[in-house]
Amino acid sequence: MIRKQPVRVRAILGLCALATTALLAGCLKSTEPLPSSVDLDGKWTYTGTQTSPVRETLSGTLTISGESGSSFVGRLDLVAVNASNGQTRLLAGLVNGAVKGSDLIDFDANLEASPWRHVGQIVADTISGPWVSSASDAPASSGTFRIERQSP
Amino acid sequence: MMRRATVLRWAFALAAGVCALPPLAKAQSSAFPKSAVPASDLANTVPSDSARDGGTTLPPVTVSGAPRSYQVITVPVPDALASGTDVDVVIVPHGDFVILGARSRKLPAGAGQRKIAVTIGIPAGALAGRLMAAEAHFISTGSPTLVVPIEINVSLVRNIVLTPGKARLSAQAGSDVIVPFEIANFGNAMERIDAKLFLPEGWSVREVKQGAVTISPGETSKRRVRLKVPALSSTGSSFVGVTLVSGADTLASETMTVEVFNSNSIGGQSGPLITTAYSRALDENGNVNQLMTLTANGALYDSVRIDAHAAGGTLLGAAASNSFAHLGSYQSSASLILTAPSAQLSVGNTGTSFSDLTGLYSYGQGALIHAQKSDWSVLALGAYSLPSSTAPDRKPMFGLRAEHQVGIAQISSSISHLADAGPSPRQLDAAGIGAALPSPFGTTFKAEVAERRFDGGSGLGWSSQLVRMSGENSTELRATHAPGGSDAFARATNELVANVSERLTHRASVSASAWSTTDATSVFSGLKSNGFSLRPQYAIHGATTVALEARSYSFDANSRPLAPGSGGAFGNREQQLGVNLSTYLHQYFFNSTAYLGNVTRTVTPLGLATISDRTPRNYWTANAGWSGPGGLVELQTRIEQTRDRAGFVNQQSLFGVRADQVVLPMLSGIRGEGEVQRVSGFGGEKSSIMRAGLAIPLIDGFSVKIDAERNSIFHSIGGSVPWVFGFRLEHAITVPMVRMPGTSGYVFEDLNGNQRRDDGEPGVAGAIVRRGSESAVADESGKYRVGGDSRQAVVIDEASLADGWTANGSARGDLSVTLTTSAAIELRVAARSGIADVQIDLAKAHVIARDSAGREWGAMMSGPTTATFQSLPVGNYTLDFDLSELSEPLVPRTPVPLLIVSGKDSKSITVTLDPRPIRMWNGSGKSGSAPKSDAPVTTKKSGS
Repeated sequence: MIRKQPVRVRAILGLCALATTALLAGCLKSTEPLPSSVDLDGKWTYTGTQTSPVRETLSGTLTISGESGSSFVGRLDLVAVNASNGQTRLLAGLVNGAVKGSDLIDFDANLEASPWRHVGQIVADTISGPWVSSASDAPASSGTFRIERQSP
Repeated sequence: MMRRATVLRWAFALAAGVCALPPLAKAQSSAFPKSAVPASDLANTVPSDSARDGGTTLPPVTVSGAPRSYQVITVPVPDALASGTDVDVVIVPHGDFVILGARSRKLPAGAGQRKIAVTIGIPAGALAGRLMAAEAHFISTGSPTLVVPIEINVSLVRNIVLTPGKARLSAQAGSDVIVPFEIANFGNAMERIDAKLFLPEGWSVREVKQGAVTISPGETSKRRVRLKVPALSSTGSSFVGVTLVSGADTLASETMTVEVFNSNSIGGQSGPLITTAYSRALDENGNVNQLMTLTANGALYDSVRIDAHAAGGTLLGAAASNSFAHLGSYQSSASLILTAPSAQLSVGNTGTSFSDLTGLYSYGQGALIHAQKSDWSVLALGAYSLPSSTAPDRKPMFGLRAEHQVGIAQISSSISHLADAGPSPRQLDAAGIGAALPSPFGTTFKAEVAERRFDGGSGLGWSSQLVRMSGENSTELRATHAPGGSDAFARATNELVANVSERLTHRASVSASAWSTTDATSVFSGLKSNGFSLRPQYAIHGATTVALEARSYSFDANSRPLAPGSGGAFGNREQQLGVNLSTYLHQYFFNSTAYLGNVTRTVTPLGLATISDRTPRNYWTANAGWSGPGGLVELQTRIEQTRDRAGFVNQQSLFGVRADQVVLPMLSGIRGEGEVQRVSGFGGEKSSIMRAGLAIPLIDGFSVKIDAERNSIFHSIGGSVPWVFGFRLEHAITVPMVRMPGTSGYVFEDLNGNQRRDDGEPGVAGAIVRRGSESAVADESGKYRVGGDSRQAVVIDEASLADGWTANGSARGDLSVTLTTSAAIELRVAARSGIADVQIDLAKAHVIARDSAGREWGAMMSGPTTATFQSLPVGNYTLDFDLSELSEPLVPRTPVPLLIVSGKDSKSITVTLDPRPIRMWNGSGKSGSAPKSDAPVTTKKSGS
């Protein structure tokens, strides 16, 4: 005998199936990368601070691993040290950004639930500027950063 | 059972005078004389149970029956009887068997009756087995008396009653407890009984072997079982089960409660845990990093807890810091926190928040004290700001906040001077006042105003907040204006926040939040942030929950020029829609979350037009594993992808396995942890984490931890990713408390009733003492130690004392118990003036006994002339009488004897009450004048 499922359970299962379909449909299709118009490939030394809400010093490595036109992708690995208690946390995430204008570097580092938006100016092999992350139900965290290209 | 039946048979045989003969010989030698008396007389004269003057015994008649029942038995008339004569039948009962109806009857000659019916009552106490119930004597002229035994096979009745001891059972953890109980056999057969014990975990029986006990019907056997209570037993009730079995049959079962007390919970064993550790690790460049740490955590003494941390060493590289974190070693400035119920003192590295307007997130090195009572609290900070590598300057900070309950309102005021250095220094001088008031619908309204002065300006700040907390539901609305913003120790300059969480049904709940903030800092001249989230959640089953979430957040920032020509504006707007499924089964869990979304980024370089682009951002995470006391093992995965304006997809995949605090099989006591994680990025970029660690306990509190990690995040100057090894040797020991908590003393038998412990007055082992919710049990010498509020007196739980003993009230220190007994005061009313009987109802007489300490006991009138003290401790008592409520005043005749209570036996003394004498005058004096003499003249008065 086939047991009839309650309407509520069927509705939930249907909703889950719909969500799964939508997620699968949301998988991105990629194009071929364009010839690079920027020269950011390689490893960069990252130093920075978080000034709000809690003070932290940031240090790590930015690795630019792919370029397509003016866009670039890579990865940022950071060690954040709490200024008040010295506790350390590791942050790592995907980086994607672009060069805008002649000297403006704009990238997101997906280190937490919401990305850390970095906007800086490149001068020679150094990029510096502010960063902001708008986390849910809290004021934005923000700070400054400085990135220097490592010697090859 | 069988033995007793046999004895009865032998007794019967002896009485019959044929005990030495076998049945056949007995039958042959029996010579029952011819009846010379009527049968009825025979029935009356033959004593039951024994007397018989001879006869031939025939095969018995046997039936079955239960105790307390009547059986009708058919007895055949022997064929050997002469048919031509009358036959007298006499039924002779044995023992407690009862014959219903006539015991004798006559069978007329020629009636042809071949059988008779006899009704026999089986006594309640009849033992199980075949018993001789009666005999039927057939007497006929010319024939020997023929005897037909009537046997009843009494059925088995089992009735075993298990009765726990009446005394309350209590024991100290680590000592023994004796569990007494009685086994009574109310059945009708002898029973061989085994007592099976069901003990709490870790308990054991002291006796090597518990033998079976044999109990006859009607007997009672007392048993005492000595049990070992484990030293680690916690204070509370433990249950001991006793089941009586006989073979495979369970006859009775009882559960007894033992109150266990573990004085270690307030004793020396539970002081602070002191952990000393030496850690050593190589960093990514091969440098040696060392760290010594000392921590103390636990109760320092009564209600005061200590949490202290100190560390020193060389910490050079991030990889070593990460390794130390895995090993449980942290380098931070020394700190000490002492916590008591009404105060907390923090010294060293410390920090606090005063209020939204007078300072949040202020940390430094100094002292912080927080004292609180039921209607007020004070928070005070004095410290220097923390230095940093780029800003060694240290700024002084202090702050004070006081709260006071005034009626239904809580009034607060605070003042602060806060500052720190660094790349973006903060500064605030503020003074504020606030209040919190209960509001309708179970909400609380809070408001505060403060004058805020900061670097570059000042302003009046205000904040208001409405909070509702009700079970699983909560609501918060908050609006704040704090001039100076986060550079002046606030969250932001302006803040508007709404959070709601509601449970709709037992399966469904929803949470939502919305916020908007604006701020200005040394980095940003303007920073706006706002967003919302909505998350409905539904529990499909108890352990399976599905949730949907929609969220959107954005910010717009105007950065100050950090360098000439720099600066500009930029912003983000992110929208996401996600679904989450989480479930667990026993110790297995699964959790998965998927989000689809997009990000719109804008940037406006200084002096240029705004550039905007919008890219998708999707990710999916899942983790599944097992979690239990034996550790945690988890599989993790995360796939994340974005796409740039040109359609190029950047995807990163993470797969990992993580084990944490896992007990390693075959290596008892050793726990392991490890992690393997692989991250695949675009263009073949790979990164990985491999880590393994072991925690190995050694002896005497020593243990070792080792950790090895290879993490792509750490690489040497040369670019290589090295293995980073860490090692920690630690020693942990629990030290005694600085001061033993609680109150100690002895519970002793006050044999002479003077309420002081004298020589020879022994302690009372096992006595339970209580103070508030704390309790303790006296040890073998009667010594106790009990925690709780020292302002309260300690009382003895009289249920823990033996019968007849009572506590002499509550006190501190030594507590006396005395043997109490009843005492009767017999009141005898003397004849008036020695000649006239006086009839007075003494029911309203009050007799009071007063001991040497002035304590009083009142007696009850238990009879017309008897006043009884139900329970008087040992001691000497003077007696007082209140006879004012009697119909005629009586006076106790002095000297009133002393009431001396010295033991368990009841005391009785007699006190004579004298009536008022009658005074008469001769009438010669003036009317109304006083008599010349006070000497009374008595006269005989009868009746009234």
